[in-house]
Amino acid sequence: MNRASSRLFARFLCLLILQVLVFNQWVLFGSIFPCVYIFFILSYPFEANPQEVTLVGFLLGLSLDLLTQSPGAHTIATLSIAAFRPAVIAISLGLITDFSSIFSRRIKNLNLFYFIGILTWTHQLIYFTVLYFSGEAWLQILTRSLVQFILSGLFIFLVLSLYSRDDS
Amino acid sequence: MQQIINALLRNLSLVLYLVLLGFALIFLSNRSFYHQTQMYRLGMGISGWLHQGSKSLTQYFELERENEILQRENLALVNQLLKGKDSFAAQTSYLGYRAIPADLIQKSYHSPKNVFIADQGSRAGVQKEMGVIGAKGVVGIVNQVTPNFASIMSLLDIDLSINAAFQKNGAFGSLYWTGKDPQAFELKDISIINPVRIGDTIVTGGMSTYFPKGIPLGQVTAYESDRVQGYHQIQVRLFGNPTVLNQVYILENFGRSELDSLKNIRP
Repeated sequence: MNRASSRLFARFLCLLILQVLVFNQWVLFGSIFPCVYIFFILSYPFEANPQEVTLVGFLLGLSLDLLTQSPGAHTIATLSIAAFRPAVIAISLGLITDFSSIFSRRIKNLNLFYFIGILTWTHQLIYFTVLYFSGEAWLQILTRSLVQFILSGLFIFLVLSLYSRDDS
Repeated sequence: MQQIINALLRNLSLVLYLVLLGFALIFLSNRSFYHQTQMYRLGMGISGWLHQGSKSLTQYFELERENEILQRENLALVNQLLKGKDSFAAQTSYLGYRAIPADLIQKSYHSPKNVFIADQGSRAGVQKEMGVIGAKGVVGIVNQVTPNFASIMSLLDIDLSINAAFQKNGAFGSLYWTGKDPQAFELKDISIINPVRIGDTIVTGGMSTYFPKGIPLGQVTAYESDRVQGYHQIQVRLFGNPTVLNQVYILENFGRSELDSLKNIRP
């Protein structure tokens, strides 16, 4: 395992443990909590193979579902944003990008906001849709996903600010 | 074949996503009973719409046979009315039920647990656990409801037992499908102190809240008496053929909530 892979593996474990032990305990209004673990999918290197990202997303969601005894909504939501990530990179950062990851200083703040915002909200929307799994609960799905999106987005930007951004 | 493999390889990301999504959905339905039920309802809704479309196409060609069945059903009803006092007694036991007419839009007969789908749902007042009857007897019990459709746990389900009784003396037991011939059933739990004759009529026992007492079910074709256990094993052949059913009546029991509340009271 090279240095980059070790760093990714360590980030995977840290975010998973933090999510299970810390963020999942901060429950507001019954079921709202910050989903910070998706920072792993957001920060995964852009040049990575899309199938690899999809598989990693599936494993991340599955691990969280198994550790938190949740029915499987994290797996589906995380797998989906991992699969949609290449399309969201193209939409928010441009079709031809030479950035290596979200840590690149050359990414404009607005583009970074779009990238994180689209993937985070998509995740929350899929998460609550799977959790409720009923068309009659559309209003709860919308409102809860919006509140959780704002909360998760704030924490994700906070975590991002802890990293030093480079010129890659 | 090579072209299919090439197409799959071209869309490897999408294929991988769909395969993993399939795994995730199986994982979800195995871990949560709520999601399992919701997925079943969703599948039933989609299948209902699809079959309703094909049903409206084929319905026209079946009109003649349907008319024939309806005429026979009418004749049987008129005869019952003309029979006088005995049939009046039978009629009164149907009181307290309301029938909701429905068409079966999907039927299966080939598995040990067959399910029918009817084209009436909660909008028409159908609820879970309502009994369903056809022109010639019991069809099944409603087990899932969406606004427009109802899924019926058919009598052709090896796990379903119906409270059934002898018309002649009221001795009751449970009627099960044997799992092979759609008209071959078995009546269990009838004590050997009750005399049995081949040709005896079996009707609904009225001991459940699903069906009123006295709906004709079938006739005894064979029986064995187990002296050790003290029960008869009775083979029953249904009057109707459940595989040719199209029109059914879903029964609403007005007294069910009251009866259920009585059952829940513990001394």
